[in-house]
Amino acid sequence: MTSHKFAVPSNVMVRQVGQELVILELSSGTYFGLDPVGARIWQLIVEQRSTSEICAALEAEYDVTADVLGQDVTRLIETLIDKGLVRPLLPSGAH
Amino acid sequence: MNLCIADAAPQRPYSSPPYRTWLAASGIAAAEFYRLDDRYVIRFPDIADFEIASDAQNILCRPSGDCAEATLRNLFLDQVVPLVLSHQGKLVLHASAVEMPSGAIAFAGISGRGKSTLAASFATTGAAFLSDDALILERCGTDTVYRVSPGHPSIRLWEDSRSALIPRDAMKAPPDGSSAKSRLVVGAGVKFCEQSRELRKVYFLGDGSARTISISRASHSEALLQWIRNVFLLDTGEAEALARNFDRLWHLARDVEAYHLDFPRDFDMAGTVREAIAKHAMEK
Repeated sequence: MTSHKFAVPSNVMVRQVGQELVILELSSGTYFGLDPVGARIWQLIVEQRSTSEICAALEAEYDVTADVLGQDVTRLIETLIDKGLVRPLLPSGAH
Repeated sequence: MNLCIADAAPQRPYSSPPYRTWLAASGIAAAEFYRLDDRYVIRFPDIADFEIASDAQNILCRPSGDCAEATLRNLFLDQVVPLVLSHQGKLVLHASAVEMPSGAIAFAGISGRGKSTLAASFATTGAAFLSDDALILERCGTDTVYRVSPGHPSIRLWEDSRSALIPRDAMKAPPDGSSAKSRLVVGAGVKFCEQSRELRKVYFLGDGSARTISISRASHSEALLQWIRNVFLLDTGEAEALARNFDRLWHLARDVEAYHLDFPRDFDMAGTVREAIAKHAMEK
């Protein structure tokens, strides 16, 4: 997943609440909350950064080791994919 | 909104499964929701079907058997009307509300948290109540002000709350079989506010595990998630309604002060709890 970028489907609605985010998936009517760090990752996802770019950006912003950060980012993105809140984009050139 | 009660007929299965089911504490279906071509149906098993026309104005009740009309009307009032109002575009939330000198305050929470008990506690000691279970809110234009519309002038209480809080001369509607709760009607000793009031503060009720009275500010995200859990919505599969609703709740959570409220569920403390809430409601 490290080289993947992601897109947010059109059936996903997001609202900022303070430093957090609340996300609504309209097809299932399920809600999902993100804490400030999750919200920052979401912002980077929306900017179409790849997983490795997201990790690099966060490593510069937070006092955390690259290993832990990589695991946390991957886990969150997998959860978001499972819930239908983001989908991986095919690498450019892929068919 | 018009209610018409048809002749009794046995409940027959629909061709598709319900899109939503409300379960009673026992795990048995208390209500099933069906989406048909031109209407919604809310089925209360072995009691009645309520068919809601697409205009959300005309409701046809089909009793399943020999059911008292009072039971049907109370089901309509307590369960069907809030959902239909939400489908008409109104913001309807699972909360009670009472009138304070500063405006209305609301108590929200899932069933059993004490919304009605608090409303009754205030309504029988001088403050008027505005709603028991379904809080109807109107946002004033694009402003950050919300007004509470008066709901049905009755409060439904479990027996322990009723016997502990309610004066002997308060009027009680006869039992109707739709619920084990008794219905307290406005009259001697129970005050009701017939005018809409500005909503000033909201209290989300805890589970009663607090050892003392506890009031703490809820963040915007906490308030939003609480409202999401406590909103009436007829069709949770309709994306447009979900989106509109999400937006409205986001504004509500941002614009109205919200607090977590918990206290020991001890009727001997009712007066102390009221005083603490009334004092807090007056604070700027």
